[in-house]
Amino acid sequence: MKMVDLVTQSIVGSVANELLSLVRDAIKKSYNCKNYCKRLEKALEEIIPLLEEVITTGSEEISQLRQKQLGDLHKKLKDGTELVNNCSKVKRYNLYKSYKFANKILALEKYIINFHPKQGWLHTLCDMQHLSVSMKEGFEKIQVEIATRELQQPQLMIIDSMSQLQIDEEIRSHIPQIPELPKFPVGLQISIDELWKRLSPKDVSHVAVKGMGGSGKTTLAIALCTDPKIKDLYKDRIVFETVSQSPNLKVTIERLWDKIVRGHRPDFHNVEDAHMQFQQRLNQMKSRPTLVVLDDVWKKHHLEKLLFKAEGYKTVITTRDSLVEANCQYDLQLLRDADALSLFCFWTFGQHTVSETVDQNLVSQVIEECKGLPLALKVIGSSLCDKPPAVWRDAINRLSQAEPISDYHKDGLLSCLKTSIDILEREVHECFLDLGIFPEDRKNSVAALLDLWVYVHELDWEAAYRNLTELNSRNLLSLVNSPMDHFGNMCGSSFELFIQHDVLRDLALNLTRNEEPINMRRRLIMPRRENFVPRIWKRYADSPFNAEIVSLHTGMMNKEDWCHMNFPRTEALVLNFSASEYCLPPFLQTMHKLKVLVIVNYNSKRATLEGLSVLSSLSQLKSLRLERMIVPPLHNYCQSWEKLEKLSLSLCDGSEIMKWMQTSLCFNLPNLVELTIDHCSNLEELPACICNMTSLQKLSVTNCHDLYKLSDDLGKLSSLQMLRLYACPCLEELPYSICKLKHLKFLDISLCEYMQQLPDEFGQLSSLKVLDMRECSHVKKIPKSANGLKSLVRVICDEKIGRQWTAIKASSIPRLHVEVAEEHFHLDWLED
Amino acid sequence: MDVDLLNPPKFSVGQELGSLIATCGILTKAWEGICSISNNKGDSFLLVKDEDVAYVIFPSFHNEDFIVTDSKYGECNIQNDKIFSAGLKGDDDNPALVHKGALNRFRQFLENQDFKAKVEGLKEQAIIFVGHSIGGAVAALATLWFLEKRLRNSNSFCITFGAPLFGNAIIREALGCEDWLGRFCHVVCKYDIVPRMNLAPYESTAKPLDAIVPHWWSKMGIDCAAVSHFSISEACMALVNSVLKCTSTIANNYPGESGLRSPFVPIGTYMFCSTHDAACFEDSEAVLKLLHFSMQSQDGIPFDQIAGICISEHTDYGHMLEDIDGALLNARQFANFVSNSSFEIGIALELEAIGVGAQQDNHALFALRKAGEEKNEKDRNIEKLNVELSTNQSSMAELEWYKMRCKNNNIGYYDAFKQLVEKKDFKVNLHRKKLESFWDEIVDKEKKHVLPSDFRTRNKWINAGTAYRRLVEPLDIAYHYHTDKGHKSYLSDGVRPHRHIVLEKWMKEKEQTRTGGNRGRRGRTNFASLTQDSCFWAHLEEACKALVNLQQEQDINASLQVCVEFEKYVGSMITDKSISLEVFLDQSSFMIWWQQYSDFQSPQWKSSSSVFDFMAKEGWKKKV
Repeated sequence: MKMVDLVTQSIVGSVANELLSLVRDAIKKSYNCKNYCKRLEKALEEIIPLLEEVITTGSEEISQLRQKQLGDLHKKLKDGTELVNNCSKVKRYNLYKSYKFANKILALEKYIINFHPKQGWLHTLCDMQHLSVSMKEGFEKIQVEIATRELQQPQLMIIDSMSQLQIDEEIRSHIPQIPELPKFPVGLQISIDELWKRLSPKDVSHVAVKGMGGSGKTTLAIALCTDPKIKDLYKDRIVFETVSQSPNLKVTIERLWDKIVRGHRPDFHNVEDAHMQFQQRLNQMKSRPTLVVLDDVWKKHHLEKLLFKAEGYKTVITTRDSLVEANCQYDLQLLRDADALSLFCFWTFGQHTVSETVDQNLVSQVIEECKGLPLALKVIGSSLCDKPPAVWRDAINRLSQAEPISDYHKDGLLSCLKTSIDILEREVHECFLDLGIFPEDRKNSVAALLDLWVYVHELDWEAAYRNLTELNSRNLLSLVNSPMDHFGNMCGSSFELFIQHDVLRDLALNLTRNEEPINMRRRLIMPRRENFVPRIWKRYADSPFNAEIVSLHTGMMNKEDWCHMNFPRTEALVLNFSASEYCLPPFLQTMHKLKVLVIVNYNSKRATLEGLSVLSSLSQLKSLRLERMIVPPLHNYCQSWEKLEKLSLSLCDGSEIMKWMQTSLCFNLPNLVELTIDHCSNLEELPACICNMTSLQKLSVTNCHDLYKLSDDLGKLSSLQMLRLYACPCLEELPYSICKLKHLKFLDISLCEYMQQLPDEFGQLSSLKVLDMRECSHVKKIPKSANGLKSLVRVICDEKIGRQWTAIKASSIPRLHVEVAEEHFHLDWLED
Repeated sequence: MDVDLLNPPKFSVGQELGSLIATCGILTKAWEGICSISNNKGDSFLLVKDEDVAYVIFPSFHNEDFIVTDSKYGECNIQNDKIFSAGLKGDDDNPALVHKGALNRFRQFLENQDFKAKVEGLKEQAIIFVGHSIGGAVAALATLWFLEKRLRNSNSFCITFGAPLFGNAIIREALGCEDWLGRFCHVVCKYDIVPRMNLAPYESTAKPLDAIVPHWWSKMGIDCAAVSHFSISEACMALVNSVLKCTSTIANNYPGESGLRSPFVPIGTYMFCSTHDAACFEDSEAVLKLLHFSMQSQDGIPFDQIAGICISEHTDYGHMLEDIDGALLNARQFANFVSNSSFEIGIALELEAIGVGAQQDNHALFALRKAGEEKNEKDRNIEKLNVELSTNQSSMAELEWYKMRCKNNNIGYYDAFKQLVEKKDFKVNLHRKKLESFWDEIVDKEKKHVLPSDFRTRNKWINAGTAYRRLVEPLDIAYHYHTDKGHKSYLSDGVRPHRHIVLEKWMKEKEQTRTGGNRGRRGRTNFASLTQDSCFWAHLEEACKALVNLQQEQDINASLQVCVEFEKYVGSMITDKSISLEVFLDQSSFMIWWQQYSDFQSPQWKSSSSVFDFMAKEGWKKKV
C-alpha cells in the first residue's frame, strides 16, 4: 500500500517536472501561446516544490481519497505535457489551433492553481490528525519501555523523530549550559590545538589538563567546548560538569545521564550503582561522539567514578594535581610575555596595549611579578585599574614583599591558590611553607631543601623525598631534570634543582606571615633582596627570636652592617647574597642549635667570606653548603663540627680546596657522610686527606674540569657507597685502589671525555649495582674481570661499549640491564 | 677487536679496467702518434687533434737524457724551479724529486715559446699528454705543469709507454692530495726494462745503456751508428741483471732498509700488459712489487732470452696493443683460483691478466691484497669520521648558541668563557673538550696515512675544520689564559695545540689552490661573524700584558712595540673586515685594552691612527 503511494507520488512529481521543462521549451518555440505558457510555467513552478516535499517526507500513509486526488492531478499534468508538446508544434499562422490550445492551457493552469486551495487545507488537517495519533502512540511506547526496562530495544530514543525532539527540548530546558568564556581570552588557540591533538586519537578516552590554580585550565576547557570545530563534531553532545573539591558524585552522574542518555533515569542506590548503570547504558547505546568536561577535579577517587568508556565518548578533566597517567596529561603552560601583557592591559586599561598615561616601566614590573599566571594578571590588573602611579609603586613594593595589594588580590588570587595548600597534609603543608626561604626566580638545589626537611623537620629521607614529589605532582614546585639525568641521591632521585612559581612563593610567605608578632614566627624570612637587615627585625632585636628557620637575602655585608640579634631556637639558616665580599653575621654565635647552614652567592664572581670565627661555635651543624665562593680555610674552624654529615661546595674555586685540604693535617670530620664538590675550577687533584674520612658514604666530585688525578688512597674510603665523577673531562684513569671499595654501589663516570680505561681489577667491586659511563668515548674496552660484577644490574653507556656489556650480560651477568643512552642536544643549559 | 674492521673489501676491478683501456682505442691512437714523431726525427713535439681531444706527443728519447752524473738514481730537486708551485715542492727535509733528464728536456720545451703558446691555446675539452720512454716522463711533468694551471674548462690526462719512474713520494703525496693520481696512466709491457730502470743506481746501468740506447733508436726507426749484435746481448744481460738485483731487494724487504732504496716511486695508475690481457693497479707499493714480480718468468723461458725480451719489449708497444686487442676479442680467461670473495677473485684475475699467475703463496697476491685492504680501511675510517663529524656538529651548534647568548649579554663569548664561573661555561668546556678529542684524532689519523690521500683537500673537511678552529680556538685561548699557565704566551712555541696549526695549514694550502689562477678573491662587504684569524685573542692577551708593563714602566720599548703592532694588526683586520664586531662589545676585554691604550697614547697619535678613527665614528655600533 505504502509502496504504491510512494510510486504515485514520485510519478506525479516527475511528470510535473517534465511538464515544466516542456513548457519552458514551448515558450521558446511557440509564438502564439507564449503568454499562456508563461502563466502555466509560473503555476507549475509553484506546485513542483510542494509536490517534491510531499514525496521526500512521505513516510505516512495516504488515504484513498487523497490518493485519488493526487492521481487526478497526475493525470491532468500528463495531459498537460501532451498539450504543450502539441502546442509547440503548431505553426505560427494556424490561428485556430493556437486559440484552441491556448484555451486548454488556461484550463490546465486553472486546475493546477485551484488544486492547492481547494483540497490542500483538508490535506493539512488530515496530516495533523495523523501526527497527533502517532505521537500519542510514541509516548505510550516510551512509557511501556521504561516500565518494563526492555533493555533489548536500544532504539528507544529514535522511535519517532518528532517525539525525540520534544523530549530533547524538555530536557534541555533544565541543562546548565556550558559556561561562557571569560571576557578576554588570550593565547588559547595553541592550547586548544595541543589539547585536541592529545584527545583526538581513537584510543584516547580522557585527557587531564593540569596546571596550578589560576592558570586558565577552566578557561581552556570552556574554549575547547565552544571551539567551532569541536561544536561541529559533537553538536549538542558536549557536557560541562564542575566537580570541585567535595562533589556529590551521585548527582553528578545523574546529570550526566540526563544530558547523555536523555531517557528516563532510574533511581540509583549509591555512587557505585550509578557508575555501573551509566556505563551499562553507554555500552548499549548507539555510539555517538560525546564530549564531557569535568572541571576542577581534586581527588583521584572522584575521578574514577566519573570516567566512562564508550566509543566516541571522551572526557576532559581539569585539575591541579596529577590524577591520571602521564601520557593522558596535558600540562598547561603559563602565558607568554606578549599574551600576558595584553591580558593585563585588558583588565587594567580595558584595551590591548598599555595606556599612554601610565609608565611603561611600572606596568612591566607588575607583569613581571605575575609570572604569566592569568588569574594573577587579571586580579592584580583589575586592582590597579584607574589607580595613580603612587598606588602602582606601592603595589610593586608589596608584591615583591609577597604582601597582598588589595582585598581583591587577597580574596581573588591568594585564596584561590590557597585551596591547593589547604588540602595538603600537615607535614607536607609545613614543607610547602619552607619554600619561601629560597630566592625567587632561581633554580635552587633540591639537596638543600631535603636537608632542611630531614634535619629540621626530622623527617626521614624517604618521607622528605615523598613530600617533594607530592608538591611536584601538585604543581606547587617544579623539579628540573638535570640535563644528563644522573642518578641523584640514594633515594634514586634524578633531580638536582627545582623552581617555584613566584605567586606560589608569595603565597607561602604570606601564610608564614600570619603568625604575628615577628619574633614569634617559626620562619623568619626576607622576601626579597635588600641592602640591609629589615628594620622591623631590628626593632624586635631586643628579645630573642623564636624562629626555627631564618633566611636572609642581602647584598654585600660588612661586619658593621649586622646588628645583634638572638636566635636561640634557630636550626636552619639560609644566607643568600649577591656580592664579592661577605661577612658572616655575628649572630651566628647565638644559633647554638643550628643544623643546616646554606650560604649561596648569586653574584657573577666568586665571593670571599669573612667573619669566619663564628663558624667554630656551630657544634650541632649537620649540613653545610657553600655556593660560588672562594672557599675559606674551613679547617681552622671545623674542630667543633663533630656532627657534620654533609659538606657541599659548588661553583667554588678549587685551588683553595686543594690548599686547605693539603695544609691541614687534622681536617677531620668524623661523621661526614656526604661530600660534594661540584663545578669547581682549578681543582687539579683530589686532596689525600679526603681519603682519611672513612665515614664517607657518598663522594661527588663532578664538573671539575681541571681534575686530572684522583688520590691513590681512594680505596681507604671503606664505607663509600656512591662515587660520582661525571663531567671531569681531564680525568684519564681511575686509581687502582678503587677496586677495593667493597661497598660501592653506584659509580658514575659519564662525560669523562679522556678516561682511557677502567682498572683491570674492576670486577672486584662486588657490590656495584649501577654504572653510568655515558660518553666516555676513549674507553674502548671493558676489562675481562667485569664478568665478576655479580651485583651489577644496570649499566648506562654508549652504543659501542654497549655491545661489550651485552656480551658480558649474555655470558655471566644475566640480570644486567644495559641502557644505551642516546645523545640529547638541547639548549636548556644556557638558562642555568 | 672492533667488529667494523673485519669487513673485507668487496671488489677489485683492475682487470676490467685494463681491458677497457686497452680496447678503447686511445692507446693505439697515442702510440701511432709516437711512431710518427719518431720517424720525423724530432726535437719538437707533435700536436694531434681528434674529436675534441688534443694529443700532445713528446718525442721518445735522447741519449743524453739517460745520463746523470750528479745524483745516484738520476733524481733532481725541484725546489728552486719556477715551473712548479710551492705546494708540490715539499719542504727542506723532504724535498720533491723528479727525473732529471726528463725535467731538463721539459724545460727546453717550455723555453720554446711555441710549445707554451700552443698548449695554452688549446680549446679542446680533453688534452692528453703522450710520451714513450723518457718522453713519457716528460709527458708526466708536462701534465703536472698543466694541472697546476687549474684551468677550469679543460681536462688533462697523461699516457706513457714504458716510461721510467718520474718522481718521488713527495710528488705522489702532493698529487694524492689533489686527487690527480688518476690522471696518469702508465702502460708497461710485462718485461719492459725501462719502467724499472731507475730503481737501480745509475752507475750500474750506465754502461749497458750506452750500447742499448742506439739499438732502441734504430728499432724506432731513427738513424744511428750500427752496433754489433754480440755486444747488445751482453749489455742486455748486464742491465737486466743489475736492475733485477735492486727490484728484488725492494720487493722482498719492507720498509726497514728504505735508505738504500731509489727515491723514485710509481705515481698514478699502472697498466701492466701481457701478450693476451692487461690490468690496472693504483696502489704505489703494490705496483712497485709488481714491477719486480711481473719480470719473473712464469713460462720457463731461460734468463738470457728474458733479458733480450726485456730490451726488445721496450720498443714493441705497437705489437703488444694489437695482440691484446685480438686476444680480448677472441677469448676470455678465467682465474684459476677458488675463493668465496669476489675481491680475491678480482685480484687473481688481475694477476692472470698480466701473466704473473695467482698461486696461493704468491707475493704479488699478498701485495695486492694488502693494498686493497688498506684502501678499504681508509674508506671505512672516513665513513666513521663522517658520522662522528655530524654528531659533533651539534656540539658546534650549541656553542654557536652560547656565543649568541653571550653577545646578547653584551660580552663576547671569549670573555664570558674566560671567567669560567657559570654552569654554562662548564658545559661549554665539555663541548670544547669533546671537539678537541675529535679533531686531535683526525689530525693524528691523517698523519698516519690511514685516511684517503685527498682527505685534507676535501672541501667538506677543510670547511668543517676551519669553522671549528675559528669558533673554538678562542675558547682554547681563553682556557689557556684562565689557568695559571697564562703567563706564558699562547703564541710561543709548543703552546698552541697542534691541531689548530695543522688545520690552519690545510686551509691555507687549499686557499692557495682555490685562488690558483689570477682570480683574486673579492673582499668582504660585511664584518665576519667570527674573527678570521683564530689567534686574535692571544694577540690581544699579549698586548694586554704589554700594556700593563707600559703602565708599570717596564720594558718600555719592547712593550710599546707589541702594542703598536697589535694596533696595526687590528687596523688591517678592520680594513679587510675580517674581524668580528663582537670584539667591540662593551664588556669585551679588547675595549678595556683599547680604553687604556688610547689614554696612554699621545694626542698626536689620535690624528694618525686609523683604528682610533674607526672607533671614534661608532657607526659600526649599530651593526654589532
